[in-house]
Amino acid sequence: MAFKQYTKCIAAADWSPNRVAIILGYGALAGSTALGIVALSGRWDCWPLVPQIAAIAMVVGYCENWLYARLICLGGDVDCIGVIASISPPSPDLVFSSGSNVFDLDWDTDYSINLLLQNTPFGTLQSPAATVPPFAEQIAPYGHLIAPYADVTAIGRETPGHTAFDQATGTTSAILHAEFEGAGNYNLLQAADAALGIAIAALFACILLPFPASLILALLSLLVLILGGALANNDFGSPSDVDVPVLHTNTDANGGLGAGADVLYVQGTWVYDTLHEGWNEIHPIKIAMKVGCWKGDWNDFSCEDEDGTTPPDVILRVRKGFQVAQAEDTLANQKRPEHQWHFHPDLDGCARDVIL
Amino acid sequence: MIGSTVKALVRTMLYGWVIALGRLFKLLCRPRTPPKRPEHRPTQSGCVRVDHPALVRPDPLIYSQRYLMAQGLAVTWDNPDITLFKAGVPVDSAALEPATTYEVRARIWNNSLEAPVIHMPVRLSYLDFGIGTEPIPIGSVNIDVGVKGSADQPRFASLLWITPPTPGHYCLQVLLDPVEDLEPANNLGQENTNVVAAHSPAVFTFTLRNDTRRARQFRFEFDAYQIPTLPKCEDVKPEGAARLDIHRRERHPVPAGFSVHIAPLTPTLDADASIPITVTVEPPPGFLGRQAINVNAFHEQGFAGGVTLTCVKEV
Repeated sequence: MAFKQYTKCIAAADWSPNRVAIILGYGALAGSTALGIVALSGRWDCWPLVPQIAAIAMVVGYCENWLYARLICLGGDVDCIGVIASISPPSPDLVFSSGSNVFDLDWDTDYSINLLLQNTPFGTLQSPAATVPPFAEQIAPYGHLIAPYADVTAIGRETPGHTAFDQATGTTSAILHAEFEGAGNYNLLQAADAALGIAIAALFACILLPFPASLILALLSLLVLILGGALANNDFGSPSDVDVPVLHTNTDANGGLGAGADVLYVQGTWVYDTLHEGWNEIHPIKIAMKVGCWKGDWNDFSCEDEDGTTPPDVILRVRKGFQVAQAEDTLANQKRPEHQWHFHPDLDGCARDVIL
Repeated sequence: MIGSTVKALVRTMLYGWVIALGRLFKLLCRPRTPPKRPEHRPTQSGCVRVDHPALVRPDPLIYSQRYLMAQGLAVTWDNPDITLFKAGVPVDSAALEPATTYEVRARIWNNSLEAPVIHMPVRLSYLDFGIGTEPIPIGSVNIDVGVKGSADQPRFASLLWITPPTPGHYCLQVLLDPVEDLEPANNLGQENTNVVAAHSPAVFTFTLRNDTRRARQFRFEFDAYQIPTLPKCEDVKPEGAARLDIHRRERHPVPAGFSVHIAPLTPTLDADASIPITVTVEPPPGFLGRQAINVNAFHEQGFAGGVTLTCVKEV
């Protein structure tokens, strides 16, 4: 199933801290335009559509800012290996949250995972929380992914970093946050865009057409927004007809070292999320695959029971494997009839003539 | 910033809303399975289902008799993915010499279009020839396998095996042990064959062992299935399930004229018990050549295993 990206990141210099003002600006611009149309037409009985248009425009502004103006690009796509410290599925409730916020209108349907980066022990923090070494952001080879980025610091944003609490070991660690992107806010934007267009059509219908054309369109606009919003809030990834993969956190304290969590290879866009206290993320995750099992030691995260070592070049091999998987000739080959087998190539495959 | 805001809003008001309406309509019409409600809270149980296309899993596989039998297909125990070599020359697995070094080469596939297999252990064992006998580890090697359609697939795992000093027939077992797997049922392949000259009749003996935890009554089924030659791609018309019809067990009965007898016919074994089974194959008069007969064993719980016996009659 193809992966879809819904967000875009922007350069640090293009980011504006005035998020609320921007959202209000959408409302003001659309509302004043609608008010101007009402004034020019002299049809002041159409004024109720002005606040409707303004409100819907603010929803558009909220979504556009959330999707396209809150993530700051750091260095393009990166990849890393880390062990899962915690996982946060999206909140499924439109109105009632299971957390402390009873009224929680949250269209963020992203799955979040927090990764303790390779070679970092559980319980390691980054500065300024950590005052003595080791500092998580200095641990090679991936600590730099959670360190403050110069462009972000230059615009006055700090990067104290993000932490995750591991239940099994009882430790809090500096982690790299990563998100499997859901379509929640993107779908809400589609609903708001469509509702805005219909509301504008309702305004013109109010001016030009007899009653109840504008009322019907106005109600339709609200229905599209509410229905679309409800659908968007229930989008938790794409349905699949195979069993859903399971990710694991530690289940065993293992003397404080932890054991049982999955070690993942993760590839995606490296960004700074301005909507949080200040941390770097991989958002969206473009590829993730389990590559090992955490047993308490970064020297061996193989899933085999026997003591062993994990080869140091495993990330190079994973990276190359995915590069080959995404290469044009591989994708072209996959469409060929001899690669349409499902059980075994000797059973439901076919023989291709090789032209020498 | 103000300019881009104005541009975005004007674009939406002019025509963006029409495009959005189309996308919304497609979203409404999308077939929806009952939504899997994700756990509300950050994980406290240690595991969370993550349903997202970016989280990928490979599907390494080998010709797996158990998996194929579960799909209702006939199987051969002359595994196309397991080959033995002596000094670089392929040898028949039914004609191995004692205390001799062979290279066992396993051919491994990956049924995933998007996820490679990395550093996967391939474990080799041998067993006494028969059904349900205990595997004895030989060793393991780690390999990478590319996605389907790539130049890195299939890949071969090679291990050296010194046969036991006791002459006899042995079965080889190759087990794939990946970190993650879309379909773990297709990871075990066996090479379990015996060849006997038909001195009218051909008599085979193998060991049947109950490797379950309860007493079981066994029964046997016979067929003459061998993997047919692959059709040319340009000749292949049926899609999907129709392509597998030629591999259904009912299409490969024991050829007319051959009589196959087994003793005992329906043995009952306690857990971990074993007995010798004798199969007698009488070819028809005038038969010359080789005929493979698959003997598959079943108990109340399902499929127990099998062997492929080849009856040879030469001038």
